[in-house]
Amino acid sequence: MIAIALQVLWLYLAVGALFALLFQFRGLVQVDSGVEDSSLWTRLLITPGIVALWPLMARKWARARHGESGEGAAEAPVTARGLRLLHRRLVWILPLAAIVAALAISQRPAVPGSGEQAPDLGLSPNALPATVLAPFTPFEGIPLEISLRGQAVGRVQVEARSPRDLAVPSAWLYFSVEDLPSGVAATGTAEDSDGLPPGSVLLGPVWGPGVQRYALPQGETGSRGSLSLYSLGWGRRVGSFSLGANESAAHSSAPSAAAPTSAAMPTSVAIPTSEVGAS
Amino acid sequence: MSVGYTTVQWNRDKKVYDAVLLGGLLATIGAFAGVTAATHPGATAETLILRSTALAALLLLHVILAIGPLSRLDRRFLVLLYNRRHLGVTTFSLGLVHAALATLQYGAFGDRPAVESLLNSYSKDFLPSSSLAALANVPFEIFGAVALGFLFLLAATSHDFWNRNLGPAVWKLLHLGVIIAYASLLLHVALGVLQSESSLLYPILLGVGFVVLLGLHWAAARREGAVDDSALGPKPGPESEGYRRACAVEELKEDHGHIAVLERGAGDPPEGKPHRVAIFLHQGRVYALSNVCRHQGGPLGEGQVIDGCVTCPWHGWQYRAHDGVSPPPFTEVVPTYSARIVDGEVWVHPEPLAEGTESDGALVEKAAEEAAAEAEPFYVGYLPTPGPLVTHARRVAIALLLGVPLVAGAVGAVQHQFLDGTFEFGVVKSFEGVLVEEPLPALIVDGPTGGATPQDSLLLVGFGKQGLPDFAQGHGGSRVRFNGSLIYRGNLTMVEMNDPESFEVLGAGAPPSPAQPLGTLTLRGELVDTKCYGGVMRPAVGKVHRACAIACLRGGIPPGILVRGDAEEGEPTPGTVVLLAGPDGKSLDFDPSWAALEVEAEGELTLHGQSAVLRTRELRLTDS
Repeated sequence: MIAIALQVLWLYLAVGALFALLFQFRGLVQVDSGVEDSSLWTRLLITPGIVALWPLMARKWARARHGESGEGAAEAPVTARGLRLLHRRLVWILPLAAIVAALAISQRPAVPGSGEQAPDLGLSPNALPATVLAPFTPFEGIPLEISLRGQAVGRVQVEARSPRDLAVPSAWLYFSVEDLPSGVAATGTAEDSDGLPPGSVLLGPVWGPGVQRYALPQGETGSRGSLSLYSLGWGRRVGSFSLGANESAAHSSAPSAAAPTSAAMPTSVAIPTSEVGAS
Repeated sequence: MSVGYTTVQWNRDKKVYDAVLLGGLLATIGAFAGVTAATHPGATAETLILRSTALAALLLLHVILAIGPLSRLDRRFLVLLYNRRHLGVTTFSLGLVHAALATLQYGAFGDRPAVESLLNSYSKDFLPSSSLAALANVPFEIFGAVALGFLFLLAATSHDFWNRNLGPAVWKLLHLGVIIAYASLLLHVALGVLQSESSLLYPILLGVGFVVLLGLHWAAARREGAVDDSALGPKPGPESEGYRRACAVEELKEDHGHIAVLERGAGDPPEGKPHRVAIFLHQGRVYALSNVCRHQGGPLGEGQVIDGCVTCPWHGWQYRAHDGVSPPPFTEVVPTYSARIVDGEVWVHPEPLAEGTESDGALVEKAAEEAAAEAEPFYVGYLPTPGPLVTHARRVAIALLLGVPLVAGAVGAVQHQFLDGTFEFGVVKSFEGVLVEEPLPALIVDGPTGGATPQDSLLLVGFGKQGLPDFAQGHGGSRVRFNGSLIYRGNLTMVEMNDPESFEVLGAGAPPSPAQPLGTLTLRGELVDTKCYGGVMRPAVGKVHRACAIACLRGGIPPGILVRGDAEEGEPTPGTVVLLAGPDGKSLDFDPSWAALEVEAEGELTLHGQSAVLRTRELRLTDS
């Protein structure tokens, strides 16, 4: 529809341009003798109007050729009062436009991330307080806090909280039922420390600022396992920690020596057993 | 008034008027651009021009629309009305610059003609929807085009040639189109930039502007209505001969106009009611003329007699009181009416006299000292301006010169930050590596090339809004060399292949390392074209950029999903883009018109070199 309208408009204007060219040489002075001694600038100044209103000028030209002077004559008799009434009626489109505009503004999308909490995963209000792991800084100067929340329905929710944007490099959080290989931190070889544990499941991307929430896969939460933070930009794991169901000690891993940041080691955590896997 | 036409009938007042206009314009654009550049390091010159011209045009249109009713309510504002057409032409010119640049940036260099691409990329979102939220997706560009069209008509016909050849009534009728232009601009702004900007200042300013304008027009209309209602009722006397009571003689002041409204008679046609005439007391005689100036329909009854001629308050056109003819060499004529004085009242016959008929007027027996009145300050552009009017005009000019740039600066300050990113436009470098076409066109390199940060994979796009250019297609797996320009933001790096002549196939290349699966997930974010997001456009996201993003995606620019964290102090965070491919590792089949909308992409995340690509099983619009 719009494409067709544009084609018609271009055609109309093209005809208008051709007409204006001809009219400047042949008809303009016949229609209005006042143009006769006018400068080239004046003629140029009125040309866009001739292009736009060429049917009107063509009619005046035709009349002038038949000896009818159209100079100064109104094309349609509209009284001043008629104009005032029309003006009053036309002004009513302004409130209409304003209403549509106001509705459109009211429907504008919120600023991404503005006031939108990451969706809670269905924890009841009396869920236990979060178990907060020690904050660590996998990326230079950007602290990241991982915490766990559990409740009786058997869900465990992982929360990643960062005060700043982690977009570069982007980071992804993985869960594996496999614990971290023993002594991985001490070993520190690229293959051992940088890769993901076998069977890792992607929980989701981690980016700040704010909180992201992820659900640990159901049925696995009572088992040992590990969470790993994987940097896409660097192509390796930059931090991980073990989840122990009933133990307070756990493995920990460190970023490799080549990591550009000094990351404090995340500690292990014991998922509150009274709240996990009870269903 | 003119015999022949000149480009502009310059006089001192018009020059001062235009100097103030130019100063105000520079101050407004300067304030917006200066504040934006100072507070928004990511702003580009194109963005500054695009937005500052749009803002200046909108503010100027408010001034234009306010001058009319202000002049009706307070005649001192007639000084501003005198050269208003220059404001109108300037408004159109600013709008044209804005539209031309927007068309060039957002519509050109794609697979369709630029204007069509800009206006028609998501016109299906005009379709009515039961959801009010869908209103936010309605295209805004078309309203800008409508407004520009009307502003063009008004600017193109602003010369007196058009006034004369269309006739004042039709000319005035045409120029009522400014109301449609303003309504269209309201929608253009509300459906466009206000969908991307979140500051409350914008709707507040737009709302205040609207309320002030509507209030002024309403007040002026009430005043005009009161004038129409002021017709004196019928009374026995010469009314039987068709004369109508106009006013009391004591209401008249020497050489000052008075608008009288004639009551409709029993046999009058309906359109004759009520009938305004301009009554003048000049040298002891009362004359009645049409109240409508032949120029732009100005109210002659609000004019004065200058040099023996009735002078219109709008632009100073003159007519002799006794016959309604302009003084030689001018030829304009307004109708005159027969007037009588009966019992201290002026009576006027509503039937105009034959054009140019001389009339002796009605003799008034009124004491000279009573008739003589201290002349009210009256503005005629080509004559020296009375002191009180100069003072008032100066105050208004100073208020506008200070106030409008202040608003412009505030508008500039509260914009959202622009994404960073770099497009090395005009900087051509040489690149070499193995070309791959799937899942997304890329150059696999084994070291720094073209001065790029060490990356093992550079996305490839063509000039403008094109994906992998034709000359490079079909060479997947080959080692190639070519010239191009870098585009980079964060870990997204691409090359615009803008030099077909430089493209060389060097032989078979080593197969790329297999993609590393990273797991399955669902991402939620804005569908973007990665070329603009990478640094070519600012802004490259949101509604204002939607037509461009659609054209880019339609042209084969790799799609991406922009995911962001929580906003900080109302500012969206830059976020990160994950590239989207089809589930089979080929290009994604999707609807490009979803660009700039929030989508959910579900699939398997794979790592190709250092680029994350979501092999998308399903791409869907979110409910919000």
